[in-house]
Amino acid sequence: MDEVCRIIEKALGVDPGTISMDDNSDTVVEWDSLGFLNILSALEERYSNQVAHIDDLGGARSVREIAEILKRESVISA
Amino acid sequence: MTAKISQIEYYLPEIVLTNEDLAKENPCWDFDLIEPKTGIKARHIAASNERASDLAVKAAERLFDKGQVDRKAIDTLIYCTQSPDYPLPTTSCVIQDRLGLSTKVAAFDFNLGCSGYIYGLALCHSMIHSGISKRILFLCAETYSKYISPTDRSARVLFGDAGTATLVEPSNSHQSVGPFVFGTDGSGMDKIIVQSTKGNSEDISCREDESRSFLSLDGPGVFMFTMKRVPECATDLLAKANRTLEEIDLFVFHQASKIVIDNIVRILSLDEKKVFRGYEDIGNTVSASIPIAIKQAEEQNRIKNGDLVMLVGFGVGLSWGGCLMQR
Repeated sequence: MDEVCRIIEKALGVDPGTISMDDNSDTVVEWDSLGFLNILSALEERYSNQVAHIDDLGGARSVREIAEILKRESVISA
Repeated sequence: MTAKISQIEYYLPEIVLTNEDLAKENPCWDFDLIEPKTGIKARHIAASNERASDLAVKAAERLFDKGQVDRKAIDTLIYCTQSPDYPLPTTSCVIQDRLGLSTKVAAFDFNLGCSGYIYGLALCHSMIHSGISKRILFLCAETYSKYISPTDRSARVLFGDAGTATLVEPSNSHQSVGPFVFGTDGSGMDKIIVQSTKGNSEDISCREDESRSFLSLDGPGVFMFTMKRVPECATDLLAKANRTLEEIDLFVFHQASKIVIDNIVRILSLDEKKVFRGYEDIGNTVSASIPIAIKQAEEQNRIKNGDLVMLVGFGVGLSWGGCLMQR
């Protein structure tokens, strides 16, 4: 789950350690619609093309939601 | 009998809307963040009294001005647009008259967006192969700018207006288009949608229930779609053609935006030198994007005689298609 936070930090260009599981598109300024595309792209790159087929990710709006979807789809473990 | 693309011309409206212009209008839009992701610096926008068909007609006149074909020799006119002049009659009928084409011409519209050029080439190929047509004028034109809310940051930074004219004829040489692969997923119909409209040429401020007549774009949803379907389409096309990625000399994808093409290139592990990018100064021009890209690539000597080019269009519908083009 921590790794998801780090991936999002890098995708949004924010300092390491600033994103937590409680963050979402309302709490992170850089997380706008274009920033979200960077997040999706970074997740797809990190998890080697496992992410593109998860339609629900397109509607995710928080770190926790993203992590839960990835866990549900067995892309990441608990 | 196979078909070939003999000639392409395009027309861009005179009004240019740069990122600087948009930033002055919307100071809270941070183009230091936006531009690196979209790759788009400017887009051409139709005037308030300029219709998509005007752009198509101007592109066609440019094609005829080159003298390669007599307009009276055109036997088929196909027009791809989602910005028709009227609900009826068919806009291609109007264009037939404006261009002074023969009254014996077959003319019809079809309504597709970013996948439209591929579908149109397939129609052209089929009509030539069957012997129905000998000389097809295939037009694509869009004025998505008229559907977009002035405050919609997601859509306004992406889309530009344009018209293209492609002459498709029987091939007596190695030049060809095909094979083709297609796909449709209507469950994504709401990812790019205009729910109602009072007409292509009406001033946006006159519309009732404006939210329904503005374009609604689910950027992340469309992005997920492109990451999933476009690489799959390219792979399916290669399998159908019994070709490998390495045999393709140039990839011309629908010029959606930089981040979309970056991801397709990464997922397919493509050589960047074999990927054409032309969105920087014109943006996403919907069905016009692929023919404009082909024309620009040829002008830049990126496509040479004998080259094998992959074309893939994808977007609103959700709809996608791909074909090979042998030059």
